[in-house]
Formats: sequence, structure tokens, C-alpha cells
Amino acid sequence: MATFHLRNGFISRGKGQSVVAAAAYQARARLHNEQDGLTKDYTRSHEQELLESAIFAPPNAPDWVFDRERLWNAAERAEDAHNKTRARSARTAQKLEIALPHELNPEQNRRLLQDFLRDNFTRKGFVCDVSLHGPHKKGDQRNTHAHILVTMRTVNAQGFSAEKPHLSKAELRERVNHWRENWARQCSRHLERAGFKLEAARMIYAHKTLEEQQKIAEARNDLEHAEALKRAPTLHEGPTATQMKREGKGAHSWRVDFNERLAAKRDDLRKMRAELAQVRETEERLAYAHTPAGRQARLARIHEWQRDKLDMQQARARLQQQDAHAWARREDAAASPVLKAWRERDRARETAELERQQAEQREALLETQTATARQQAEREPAGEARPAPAPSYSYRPPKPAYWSERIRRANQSEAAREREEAAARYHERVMREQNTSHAPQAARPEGDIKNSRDAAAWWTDPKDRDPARPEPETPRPFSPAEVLEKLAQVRKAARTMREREERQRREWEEEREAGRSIVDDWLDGMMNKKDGPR
Amino acid sequence: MTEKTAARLESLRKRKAQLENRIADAERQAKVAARKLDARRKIVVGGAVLAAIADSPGLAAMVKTVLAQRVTRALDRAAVADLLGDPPKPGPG
Repeated sequence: MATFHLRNGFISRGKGQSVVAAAAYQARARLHNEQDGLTKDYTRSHEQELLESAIFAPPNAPDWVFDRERLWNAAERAEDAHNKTRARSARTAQKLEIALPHELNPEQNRRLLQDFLRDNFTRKGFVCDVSLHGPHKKGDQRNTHAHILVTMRTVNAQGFSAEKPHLSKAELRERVNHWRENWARQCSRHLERAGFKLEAARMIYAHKTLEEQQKIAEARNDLEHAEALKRAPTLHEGPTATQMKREGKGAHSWRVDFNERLAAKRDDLRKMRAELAQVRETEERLAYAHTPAGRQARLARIHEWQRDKLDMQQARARLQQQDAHAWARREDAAASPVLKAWRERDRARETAELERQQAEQREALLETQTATARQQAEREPAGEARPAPAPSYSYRPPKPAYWSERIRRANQSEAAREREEAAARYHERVMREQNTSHAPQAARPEGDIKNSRDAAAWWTDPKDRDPARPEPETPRPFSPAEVLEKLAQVRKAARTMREREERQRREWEEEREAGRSIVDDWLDGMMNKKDGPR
Repeated sequence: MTEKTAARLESLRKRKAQLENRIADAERQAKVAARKLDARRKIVVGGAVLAAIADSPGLAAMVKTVLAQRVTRALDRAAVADLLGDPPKPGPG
């Protein structure tokens, strides 16, 4: 976001300052001061590039105000002519230093400045000498800023007026605050016009103190900005201190020193805030842990951890077994096929045994856990509802599917379990009757079958049929033509199958190792049979 | 007096005024610099003395005497009331 900076000051003869010299510097010009006969030439100093310089004047001003040299010499002369009491220590001009929003290009910035100056100075009869300076070569490249010199007296067609507006300190402060507010508003308007909506929304209150800004940002729900505003204000270092810093003499400037210490403190503060947040979070977690719900959650976590551990152990055991089997297979390479098949069967048995054992282990663990959880739930009925703790974003590996299935089964009611088991039994029977080897599907509740063409509808046992549901139609007998067609189809299918079998047999023949007979294949087949060789 | 002489006089007078202005400006700049340096010295000395007071009660007594003699304005006395040992005055309101 654009930096807000607007600072005012005066060019005062009382301090030995000359407005002509100041104007020459900021406009990078060569100007002659008639008061002391000196000529200041800043045309060749280019540390900060001069982007633009212009003079804005009220419409009734004479033409000479647009000549910088004549304008400021006239301002000096006006003090001599009209200031009877303190001509030699008078203020000859007001100076403003304004940071321009870096989002805008020079042309947009020029229009922004024009609006601001017209509202605050030109309309009231003052002349402004504006210079836009670019960033220093070694500094922040967004530091485009404007130096503005404003006459102390109003200008009309005859020249400078004899009266000089005098402001008390309080009035001046009020005036400057008004300018700051106006600058913020104008900036916001121009940023919005240039398409920077967010910056515009933030800029409109940027003239306030950091605390006030933070409150406003929070009220507008701009929390990111509010967080960024949570800091102690730094001191404006100014050109002298910045120059010292560039030359490596930062510690000699107390402003730079102060800012550095502030930055260090800010880092400390940020760390402390983070720690505080951690402590607070821990407190909350502890408080939650001592409620019944918290204890339940803790038990669930422990159970999860136990299951994870068991998973890990079992996976390791399986891997070890696979490893051992692989080594054994390697050793068996030289053995006879019969022996090899025999041992392979042993290994398959071992694998099955391990699987069974592991399933038992899981079952046992789950039973223990369910019992513990039930006990705790009976001992402590759950307390009042409490929002779940904030999610942790650390990585957690996904859990195996069978745990969720088992947990679901462990937690379901007796009736539901019976219902489900009955469905499974029934399903199994249908499977057996149909002599299919499909994997048993999850049982469907009764009302779930919507489409009568669903396969499940055909599996329904006639005895269990819902009387409200119409009987499936019996197929009509085929006509002779259809019979012939079907017969042709069947013959074609049979031929295809025969061909396929023949092809496969030939492939097998080709694949068969030398020295291996059909008997070996038959023996292998016998070995792989579930009941073992006869 | 010829025209030439008058013009010369005029330019010399202008030159004189410019030189006077330049002298005045230089004097003012010197004055500002001197005042800045003076203020800086006061701050440095005051800071050092204030820091040393904490360690040496003798110096504290001396400072108290000096302040009691030299600080006469009420506002200034209020600013250093704790060093003078003055009783705190009831505030306005």
C-alpha cells in the first residue's frame, strides 16, 4: 500500500533561509536571488531525478508568477514591502513534503496533486511551486515524492497582498490535519479511479494514527491490514539521517538508532505474541481435556494411536514374511517342481495363517477399545456440547479403510447389526444358489431398490417377495425364426470359444519349458487345488 | 551628479544592501547552529548528570543545591520537583 506522508514546514529568514535557494534546489534550477546577490545552481545535481516541476496559481494571478525566479524574488520583496515589524526574520514560504502513491504513474500523480493543491491553496489565492522527485538511486524505488512551496501571502492581479494570514499554533495544527485528511481522501479517490480498490479503501483513513487505523481496519473486517498495523510508529528518518545511513554512519543518528532498536523490539514482540498464542492455545486445550468430551476425545486419540501402532507392526510382519518367502523361493530355484510346489503351498498357508492371526489381533484390539469406550461413556455421560478444537494442519496419513468399517460395526446398535447380518446371510444364500463367485456386496436396505431393472431385484427370493410389487413377467416362448437365430448365435459363440481355447493351448505349448511334460502341468494343477494332492 | 554616477551609486547601494542581507543571513545561520549545539550540550550534560545521580548521593545533594538556587520559574521547578524534593502540588482541577 502507498505510504502516507505529509509534513509541513516553513522557509524562515529568521533561520537564515532563502526561499529562492529552496525553490532552486527542489526544481533543479539556476536561480538568482536579488536579496543577497547570490545565484544558486542545482541544475547538475541529480541524486534524485526530477520527474516534473510546475507552478499552480489562481486564475487571476499575473503572468510573472509562472516564472520561478520572479515569483520567489517577489515573495521576498513582499516581506520587505509589507512586513513592517519583522521583515528580516519573516517566514517567506510554506513548504510541504508529500509522499506520492507509488501505484500511480507520473501523469496520474500530477492530476492527484493538481486536485489537492486546487482544493487547498490555489482556490484560496495562494501560489504553489511543485516539484516531483523520483527515488534515490540507493533508496526504496517507491519513494516518489513531491516538494511544494506555497506563498505566505495570497496573490491577486496586482501581486502579493499586503495582509499576511496569521495562524496560531492550534489553528495551524488544525489546518495541517485538514490537509492530511484531504490528501488521504484525494489519494483514495485517485487510487480507486486507477483501479486500486483495496489500496483506496485503506488509504482513506491512512492519515490517522496507527492505533486508530487498526481499529478502523478491524471494524471494516480488513484483518490482514489490521494485523500489519499492529506496530509501534517509527520515526521519520529524513534526508540527513538517511544520507548518514547510506554512508555507513547509521549509529550516529539517534533517529536511525531508535528505529533499529524499535525493529528489534518489534521482532521480540512478534515472538512473544506467538508464544502467548501458543500458551493460550495450550490452556484451552487443557481446559477442554478436563471435560468429559475432552476425555472421550483423548481416549479416541489413544485408540487411534494404538490402531496405528498395530497397523505398523502387522505391516512389518507381513513384509518380513514376504521377504523370507522371497529368499526361500530363491533357494528353491534348484529344487524339483514337485518340491517347489509343495513348499509354495506351505508358504501360502503361512501367509493365510498370518493374515488370520492379524485379523484376530485387530478384532481383539477393537473389542478392548470398544469396551473401554463404553465404560468411559457410562461413567461419564458427555458434558455440554463444545466446539471441536481448531484443526491441526500437520500431515496425518490416511487410515486404512477396514478400521472405519470395523469401528462402524462396533458402534452400531444390536438391531442394526442383526439386520445387516441377516441381509448378508441372505445374500450369501442367493450367491450360492446362483453358483456365482462374485464378491459379496454390501447389503442394501429394503427401500433402496428403486429401479426394477436393478440386478438386486432379480435376486429377491420368491418367498420374500413384496406382494405389492408386481411379479416379473415370464418370458414368452421364442418363435421358430428366433430359435434359428439363437441357435446360430450359440454355434458362433461355441466356435469362438473353441478357437480361443485352441489358441491358448498353442500359446501354452510354446511357453512350456523344455523337458516339461503335460504331466508336470497336471501335477501343478493338483498341487494348487485347495484340498492338496490326492 | 551625472547620470552615470547616479547609476553607479544605485548599483553600489544595491550591492551594499545585498551584502548586508548576506551578513544577516550568515549571522542567523550561525545563531541557529549555536543554539542547536547549545541545546545538544545541555541534553548531553543533563543526561550524564542524571545517570550519575543514581550512583552518588553526594552528587545528588550538589545537584539539589544548584537546582534550588538556579531554577526559579514555576514550570521549570515543577519539571524537576523530584530532584528538588519539593512536595507535589495539587494539580489543576
